[in-house]
Amino acid sequence: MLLQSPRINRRGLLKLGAAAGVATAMGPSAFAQGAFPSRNFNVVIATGQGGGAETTARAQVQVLREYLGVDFEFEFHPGAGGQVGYELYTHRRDRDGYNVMYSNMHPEIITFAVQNTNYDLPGDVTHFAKSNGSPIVIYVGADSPLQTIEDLVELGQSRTVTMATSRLPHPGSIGVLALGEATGVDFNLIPFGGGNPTSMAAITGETDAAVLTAGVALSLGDQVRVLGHFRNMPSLAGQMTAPLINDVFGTDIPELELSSGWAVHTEIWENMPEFREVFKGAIRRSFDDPKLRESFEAVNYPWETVEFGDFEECQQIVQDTIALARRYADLLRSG
Amino acid sequence: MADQFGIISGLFVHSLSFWWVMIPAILLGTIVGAVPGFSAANVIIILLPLTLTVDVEVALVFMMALYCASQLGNGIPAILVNIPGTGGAAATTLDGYPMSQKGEGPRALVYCFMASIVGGLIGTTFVLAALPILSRVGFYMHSVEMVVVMLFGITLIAVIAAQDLLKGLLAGLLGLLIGAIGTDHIFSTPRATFGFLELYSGVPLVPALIGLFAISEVFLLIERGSIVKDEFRSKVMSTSFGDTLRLMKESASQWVLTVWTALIGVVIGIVPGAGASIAAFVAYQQARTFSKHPEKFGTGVPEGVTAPEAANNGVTSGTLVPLMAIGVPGGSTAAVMMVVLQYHGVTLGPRLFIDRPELAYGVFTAMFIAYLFMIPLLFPLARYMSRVTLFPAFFLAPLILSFTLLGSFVPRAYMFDIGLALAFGVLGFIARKTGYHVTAILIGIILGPLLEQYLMRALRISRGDLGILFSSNLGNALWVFLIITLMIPLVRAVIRNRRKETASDAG
Repeated sequence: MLLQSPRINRRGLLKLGAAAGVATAMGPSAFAQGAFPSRNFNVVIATGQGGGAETTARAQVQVLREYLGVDFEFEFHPGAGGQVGYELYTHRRDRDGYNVMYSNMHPEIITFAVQNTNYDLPGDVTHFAKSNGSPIVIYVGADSPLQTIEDLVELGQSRTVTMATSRLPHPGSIGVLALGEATGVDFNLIPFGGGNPTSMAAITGETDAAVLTAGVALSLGDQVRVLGHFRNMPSLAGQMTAPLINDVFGTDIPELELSSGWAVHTEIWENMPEFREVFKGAIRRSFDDPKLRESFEAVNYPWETVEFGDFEECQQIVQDTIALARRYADLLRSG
Repeated sequence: MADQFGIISGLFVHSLSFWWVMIPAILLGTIVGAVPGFSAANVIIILLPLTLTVDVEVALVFMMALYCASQLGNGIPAILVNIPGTGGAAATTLDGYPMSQKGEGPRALVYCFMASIVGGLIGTTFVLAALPILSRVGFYMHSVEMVVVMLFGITLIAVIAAQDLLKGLLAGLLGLLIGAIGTDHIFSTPRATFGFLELYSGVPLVPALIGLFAISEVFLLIERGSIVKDEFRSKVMSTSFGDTLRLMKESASQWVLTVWTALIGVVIGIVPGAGASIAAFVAYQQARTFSKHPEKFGTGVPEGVTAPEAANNGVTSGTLVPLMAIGVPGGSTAAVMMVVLQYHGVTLGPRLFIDRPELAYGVFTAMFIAYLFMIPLLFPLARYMSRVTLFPAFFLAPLILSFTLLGSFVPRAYMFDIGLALAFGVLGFIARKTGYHVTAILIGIILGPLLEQYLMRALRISRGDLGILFSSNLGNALWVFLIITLMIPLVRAVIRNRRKETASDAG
């Protein structure tokens, strides 16, 4: 039962070991295919292991490694809403085109906008390719009595509503603050320090609701109920029946999502054309490859939220997000 | 129901056929567990290319066996050389190491293995049998309840301080202060980081653990020459396999304590973000409170080894409950396992019990069988492992120092962490030479940030109203139990004094 169709058995394992030994003996030069890239890429991720960034980054490199002929090594530096990862990448990783970042763009840009940091966006780090964008949604646990977003706002007319969020510098927090501002509801944002504990808070009823991405909420299946979302994404219409919050309340809250994507030292982006051509080119091509879809679906990630965004779109995201975060900076700093 | 029993029974038998995966995974897990800084999570990451290549069931069995064995392995250096493999084994040093110093290393190891294996088996069986009920535990253990659970662990500082109240409390306070370094849990504002980026996420546990325990122990070892006192050396050398069998029987007599503390481990393991450290400290505190001879704890009593080891192995199955029941990983190892299995096209969560029950239940049967395999694999090694304590310092000291400094570097790959470990080493050495308890410092470092996190979250929910701490029935029950736990030693002392007075009056 457990071993119906083993791809590797005892003998297979020995063969694999022997092959690995031979491959090691041949050295990396045996696989080098031209001037750039000639060695593995190092990917810095500013969040912890097991999070959404790791999942989507690994799904993407499954295809990229075939195009580029080299592998990807990951390092994780969570802390202070992404500040640790960005500072480390900016100041302690060689600017050689082999050190790249995979970033949860929106929350990390918000951190830059509201905290005192020793790096500049886009002065030090340039976001150049978006790989997916998941709308921000408000959801509750399956056992919650709240059925609709109107129920939530109605509850907020009678008492403070507790809302779990991953962290205060997060597009979800901004969305909830904006909704509170528009409807007069007193939302109490509780940062739970990551997507998993945030979802747990909603599922177990520790908070009235939670705000996070559609990707996370949908991956939890019938454990949660999505009440509303902050960005229309037609490709998700089949999976997400909850309404757009602006449509329900006639509000004008900016579209909110959490995008992930690739970034690199600005110096490299500006002065190393082969990086732009080869690396960014490989990312662009991967979106036309059916293997990318297979790779995302293999990890149960909603393919509908996977979308390529080019350099210009990334720059727009950086500018818009910084402007939005600074508008709510006082609330995000003081709660 | 009958189908489920059929599947589970079949899986137990089938899991045995994975011996060729389990045996190397157990041996590897025991080794990585015994080396501070290495853990099941980072070894699974290192071996990611391998686990992604093999069949999903093989990867699953490998990870489970590695995880369980590493949890057991943590206790070995804690007992033999006073160096816990992780925070989860820190409480084991309190009695395990004094046993080794008295030449009872083999005995302590057998108690450790027995508690770990039986604790793991009990935890796995309990979770397998009661998963639907246990999955609801997370629905009641919120921030308020976790504040009280943290206080159970932190009261161990007071227990340690009982030997020297002022020094014990000062050491605990220092630990809490060190634990407060880093960004705060609500606004991510850096505190006392002195501009060091490496401290933004708080003082990393592994370098602190290595410094306080391993490096300071090396300094002391150089002074003493060896771990075991000369008069006890023959005792270690003369331990036979027959003695191991006798000790296995002897340690099995502590089954009540093992069951009780393993269940503590399961329940604490279920709460995401808690884990083996808090479970082991709470278990040790409980074992001491309800012991017939609490005053002997800390001098080398087997119960002081059994309780934390059963608890931290109970955590291994508990931590999988939220992952299997809700699809949310309860700890770092569970998160890494989730990523690996995702790449095999398997999404852990409640749907798995319907879609692929053989895999969902296979997680626990693999765990169970892995613990069974540890019996023939590890018990015969106990007497050989304990001979490490006979090595002279000029062999042992450089070996420990090099391994542990490497271990302090591994989790985050910062050179800064090696310096931090050395700084904690000096602090630990000074503390030990001046009679301050390093475990009290470590409890503060481990539990302080967790307590603060849960407390700040609870107070944020109530907007600063302290009344929230007494707002839930379960929380209030835990408060009462905490007070009873704290009162028991005082009541016992009063009764003991009265008996003495009565006896002296009668005399």
